[in-house]
Amino acid sequence: VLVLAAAFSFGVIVRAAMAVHFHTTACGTGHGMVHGTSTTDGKFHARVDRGGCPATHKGCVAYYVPTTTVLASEQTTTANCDAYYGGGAYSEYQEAAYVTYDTVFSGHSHYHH
Amino acid sequence: MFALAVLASLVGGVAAASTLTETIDPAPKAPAAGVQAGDLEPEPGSDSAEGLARPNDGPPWTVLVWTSKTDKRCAVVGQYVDGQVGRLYANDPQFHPYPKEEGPACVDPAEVPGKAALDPRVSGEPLAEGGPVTLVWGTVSEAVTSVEVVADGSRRTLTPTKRRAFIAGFPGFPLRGEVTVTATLEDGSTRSHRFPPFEAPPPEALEHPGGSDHP
Repeated sequence: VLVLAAAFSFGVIVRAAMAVHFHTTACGTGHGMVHGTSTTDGKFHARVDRGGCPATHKGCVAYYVPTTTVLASEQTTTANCDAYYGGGAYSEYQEAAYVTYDTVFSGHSHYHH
Repeated sequence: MFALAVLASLVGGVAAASTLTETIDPAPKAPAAGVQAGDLEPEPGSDSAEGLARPNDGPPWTVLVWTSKTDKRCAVVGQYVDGQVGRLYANDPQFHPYPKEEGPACVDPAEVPGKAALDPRVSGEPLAEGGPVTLVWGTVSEAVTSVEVVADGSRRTLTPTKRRAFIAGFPGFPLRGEVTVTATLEDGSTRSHRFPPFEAPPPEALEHPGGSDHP
């Protein structure tokens, strides 16, 4: 029993460290970090797709985690939200997308996987 | 015996992790939800740069409008350099064209609420060549005759371009206070969208590098 418990705990720890960088949740909104054609070139999108969700306020912020430096941002209502950082000055492993969607989910961050 | 238990723990742990990580999506090159084949493929020759804004000393900003192969309208904002739309950052001499094939998904104006009479965005570019800027931009329907942008203590009235885009640029990021965008239609009615002040990532994000803080 002890061994099984340890095994499960280890699995949970690994799972938490890997994280989910982009996924689809309630009412069909896909949101998170979109790496693009490369996961290491520093270029990425912070994105919220409206899907079938209400046309309420959405916010996307592409940022550098260690200093919370904002790299790009966008706010939308009707449309999908897409903040694009196209430079390569920061490590993509330390970049993240902060996303908000009124009435659908509260603000949270998605990190590199 | 202890070594055996540790080994079993590791093997079991990896198995558990594998099971749990099956739900992780692969890195999407494009949004997965509601995107049809061809939504992100530009119809050749359908690009045009619509409107210009010069909020700082860098290259002007414009709205790039194109049509997808599924006949949906696509629009992004960017700097206009040598006939291309993208980004030019301070302390980086290289121009970075916007990767249209990465989305976001193009939309059919007839399928969005209000038939997209007004589809506004507020974009912040703190690292832009020439200094931080905020762009208020978007697209409107054929029925819209003018767009009024109120931001940073000023009011601007814009006429939609041929392909129904508009753009206003403001120096600085973030702007003080909220941004309001109002479209006036041919029948005199109006559509208005209000954007709250920019919400920065909270400091607690620093506690989770490499992880995810998700509801």
